[in-house]
Amino acid sequence: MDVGPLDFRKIMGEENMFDMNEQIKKWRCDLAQKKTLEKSDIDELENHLREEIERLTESELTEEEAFMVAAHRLGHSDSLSEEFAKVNTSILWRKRLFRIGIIVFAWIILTYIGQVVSRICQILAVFVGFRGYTLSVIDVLSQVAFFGVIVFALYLISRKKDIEGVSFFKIADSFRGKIMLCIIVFIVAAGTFAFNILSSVISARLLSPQEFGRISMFKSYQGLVQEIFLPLVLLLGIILIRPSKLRKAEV
Amino acid sequence: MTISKDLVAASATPLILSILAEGESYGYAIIKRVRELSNEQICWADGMLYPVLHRLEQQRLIDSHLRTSETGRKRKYYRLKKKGTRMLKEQKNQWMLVHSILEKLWEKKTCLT
Repeated sequence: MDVGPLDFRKIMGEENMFDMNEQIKKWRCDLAQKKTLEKSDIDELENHLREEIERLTESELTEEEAFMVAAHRLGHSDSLSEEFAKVNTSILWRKRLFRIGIIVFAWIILTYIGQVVSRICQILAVFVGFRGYTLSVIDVLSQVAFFGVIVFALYLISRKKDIEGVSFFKIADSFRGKIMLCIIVFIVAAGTFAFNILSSVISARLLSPQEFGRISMFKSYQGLVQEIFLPLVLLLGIILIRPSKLRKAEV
Repeated sequence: MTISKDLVAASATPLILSILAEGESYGYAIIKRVRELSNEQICWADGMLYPVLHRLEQQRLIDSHLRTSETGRKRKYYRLKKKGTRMLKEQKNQWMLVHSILEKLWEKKTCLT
């Protein structure tokens, strides 16, 4: 039988040994997740924690006990983050501004996607055999349907107690998440732009110049649809991420 | 005897300013000092001191700088500023006033009984 170093460690009980640095790291992560503490705040608290642990270990406590007591004395991460939030208001505002930015971005992307949806419906309608004003009506109706679905989806999400949106914002808060979002926005914007040009060419080939002109004119009606529905979407978005709701979800 | 939450919150500013008036200090030492002076009667949840310190810093009553201690620890030291000294004086007057009023009232009571 192979009696390797692993068995030796088992006998010594080292696998259960308390790793102070690991514990402190975990404790830091817990605080960092609260988002109301700056890194320097956490550094300062960690310093305090270590000094307290040092003092406690001198008075007959084991490292593990000392850590538990010191962390308890320092306060629970929820109450700490609440207290720090009162001081670090600038962080909260930065966060809020960032979220508003995301909503504006979502607005722009939604208009792009809405356009693509209506174009696809239009071209399909042309293939089926529709002509004339019917095409324009389909164009507008498809946009209404699209934004209707979006509004309804947002409404359903906002009614839920545990918002899915929160996890989305958690992604958006991390650096990698931000880069990913930017890339996605860029791809969607470029894709829809290319598709719009392509679809114009397709419908110009399929339709007579007169009909194409009529459709183009009707396009302006779409502006109306967007102006009615997008503010609604935006409003729901704001209700969705209102501070009180977010705070509840974070706890 | 434990001191009520409101009183702890109200007394935090004059306590911190008074301790810093003795010379610059850092979070852990300030809490230790409060504990000693009050014979462990005032027990702040230790972490709560730091937001208070940061607020005093934002109000420009104190300022801070990082310094490595003899033991090799990087500590954030806080120091009283001129505005803080003025604030401390003001606070002192206010607390002394409340103190004297209460004293008078309670003295009367003890005379009666």
